[in-house]
Amino acid sequence: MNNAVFTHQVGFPKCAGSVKGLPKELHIRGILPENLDKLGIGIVGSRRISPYGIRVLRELFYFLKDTGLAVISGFTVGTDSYAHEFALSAGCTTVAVMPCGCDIIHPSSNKELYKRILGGGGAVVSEFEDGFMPQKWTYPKRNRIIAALSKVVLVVEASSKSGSMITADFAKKYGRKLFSVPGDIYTERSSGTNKLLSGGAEVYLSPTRILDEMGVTSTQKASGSVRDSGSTAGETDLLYILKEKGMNFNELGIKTGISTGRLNEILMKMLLKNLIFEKNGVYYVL
Amino acid sequence: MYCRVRTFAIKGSTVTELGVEITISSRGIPRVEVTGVKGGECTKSIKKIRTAFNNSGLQFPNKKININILPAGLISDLTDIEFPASMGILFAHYGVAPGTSDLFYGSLNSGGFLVPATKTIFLDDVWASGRMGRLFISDGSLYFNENINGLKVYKLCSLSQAADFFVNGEVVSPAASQTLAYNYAWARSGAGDCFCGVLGNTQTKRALTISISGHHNILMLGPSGTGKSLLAEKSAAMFPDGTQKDAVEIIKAGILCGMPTENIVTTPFRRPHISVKEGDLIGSPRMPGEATLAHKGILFLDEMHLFPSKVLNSLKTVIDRKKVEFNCEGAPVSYPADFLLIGAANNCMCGLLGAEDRQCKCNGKDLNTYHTRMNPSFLERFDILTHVSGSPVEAVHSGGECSHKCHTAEQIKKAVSIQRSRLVPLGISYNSGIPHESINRICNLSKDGSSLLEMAVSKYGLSTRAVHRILTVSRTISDLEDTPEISAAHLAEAVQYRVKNDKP
Repeated sequence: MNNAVFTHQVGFPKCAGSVKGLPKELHIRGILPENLDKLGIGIVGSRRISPYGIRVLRELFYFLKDTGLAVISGFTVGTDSYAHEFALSAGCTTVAVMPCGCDIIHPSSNKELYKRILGGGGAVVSEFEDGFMPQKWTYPKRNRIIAALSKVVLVVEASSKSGSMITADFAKKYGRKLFSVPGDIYTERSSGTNKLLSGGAEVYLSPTRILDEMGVTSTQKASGSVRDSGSTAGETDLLYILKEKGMNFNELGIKTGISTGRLNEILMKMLLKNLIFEKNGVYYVL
Repeated sequence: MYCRVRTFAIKGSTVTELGVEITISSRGIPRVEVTGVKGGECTKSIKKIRTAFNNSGLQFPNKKININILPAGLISDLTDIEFPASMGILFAHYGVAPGTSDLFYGSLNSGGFLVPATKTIFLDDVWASGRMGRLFISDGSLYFNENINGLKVYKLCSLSQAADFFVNGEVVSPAASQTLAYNYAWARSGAGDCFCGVLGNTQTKRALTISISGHHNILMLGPSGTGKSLLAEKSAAMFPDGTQKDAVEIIKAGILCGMPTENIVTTPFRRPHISVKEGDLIGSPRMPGEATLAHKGILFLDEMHLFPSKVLNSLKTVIDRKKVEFNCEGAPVSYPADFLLIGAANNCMCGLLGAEDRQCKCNGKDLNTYHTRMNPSFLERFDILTHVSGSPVEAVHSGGECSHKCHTAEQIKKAVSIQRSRLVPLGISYNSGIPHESINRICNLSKDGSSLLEMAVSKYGLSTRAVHRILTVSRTISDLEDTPEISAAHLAEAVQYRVKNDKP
């Protein structure tokens, strides 16, 4: 399945070929989507993703559902894994760019994801030969390929000295449209994204601008209506409370005054309806 | 002169009958030799027997004495059968024969008095078969004679009393029948205790109530300082009263582990430290461990993610089989270990993930380590997972005092009695033990409930095992409310408590 594609060959990603300084050959496993220059959206961010970051991604992918876009990311834990996961569940093809040979699953905890990316019609791409182990210097190289393959790059969360910032620099250099998600000015993992904003990246306020930029329209309804439709009185209250801030069970119980048993039931039903999600005991609105 | 005395070898909880053969011959150099003992460190016991004879005003025969143990090689010293051995010497010396069904057990001190034995508690299994006879043990030894029909127990204090009884024909009446020889009652130290003393965490308290009622293993996850250990300690006080049989089993487990009887408590609460060795937690062929000490009580693994994986892995089969099994020198050895497992762990290695005011400092490697420690196959042993949080807002709202309106203890008691009456034909007493074949009969879902379960199965991709767990937990929830049918609300709550294995 693994084949190396050279710059002059058919099948070498179009946008990548047009950028100077890129490798002459790319090793590909799976099927690399064509027209990445039109459909590729690169998503990068911190390895330690916060619930805020997850919420941003969830909302984005809710609207990306069935748009046929391809999501390019770096396969590491945190934001990258989430981007791949969400892309797969939203029916988008996804491309993982590796800092090592395509046959090395790094990190190994993502074994399942690796299989699903290939199974979902996506591709694993690397400029390194099979069997090449990841090194400190291969990560920035990997980042430049992410930037090169994408039409639009979205930085979800990044500290000011992170790999995501390197990707963002390459994106600017290659003339890619750069979006950055604004965050808390006191939080380390938002310092990079905020810096990018002051440096001229476009502010990400909702998925709309990305959709416009990619030239697609979402089939999904706008956020307000989807959340209110089909939710009962208790659920609406909870949604209203959770919209602002994720909360754990006990806080919700105190805020709403609903009994433990009943609250459990309502939350479970909301989880099943995909209105909210739960992580480490804290409930968040999608 | 020859005499044979019957006694027992009590190894762990296994009782084997032994014969002690005494031969006193006038020919040969006067000395005592012991045969049929493995290892053969018997000189101390013999010295003790000799002194005991002298101090009891009896004459120790100054002849060649052979003590032979049958079957050979079963015991390694005479400590536990000093009394039968000296009785044998006495019989052979005075030419008196004991009754054919007379049994002796116990050790002596050098003053000639019998030492109270605890191991005698295991003798009731021998007599459950309805054998007749007389048992001579030390006054103060432990025994339960509820199963013992034809057995007369004689409690003797000294060797001279035994000599008077057998040689001089003095009358000693058998001990009065008593259900529990050991003064044992389900005493409640913190009577009417409840979780109210711990601030906040309504969901965790509810989950613990369910866990205690139905004996569901529970895992509490949360940042440090949120009251996990405190809640686990409270659980021991909330434990429902056991049956008489449970009480006997708890004492037996304690004695097996060599615990002084006064330290054996009604609801064992064991909290092994993270440095515990595999052999100390599970036990070894010669010595049972924490798992057995927690029998019919609680085994609390605090900071569970810091326990070595090896230790946790070896605990898995113990949890499944509710006993520890070994093979020692060709013979199977098994110790009881039927406990409620309460686990408490942080959400990550640094313990700060999920804390209100602090940031988690774990890197990818730490998270991987955490994930390996909390391995899925161990997590599968838990029925309930609950997240513990500590937020200052909550603490102010809920207060720390129990308003005496909480009926948690009564609720648990009621749920336990409902389960017992239902599950007795199956030979189990708690919902957590419901076997697969009767799950559908016992856990009858309402219509809403089954549609909710279907939705949950398709959304979360639940395995058959996971569904089984959810059903048993929901059964307990509906038992707590005393409703025969499992409603959608009960099921929803049980699904909320399911064990997830998300990445942190």
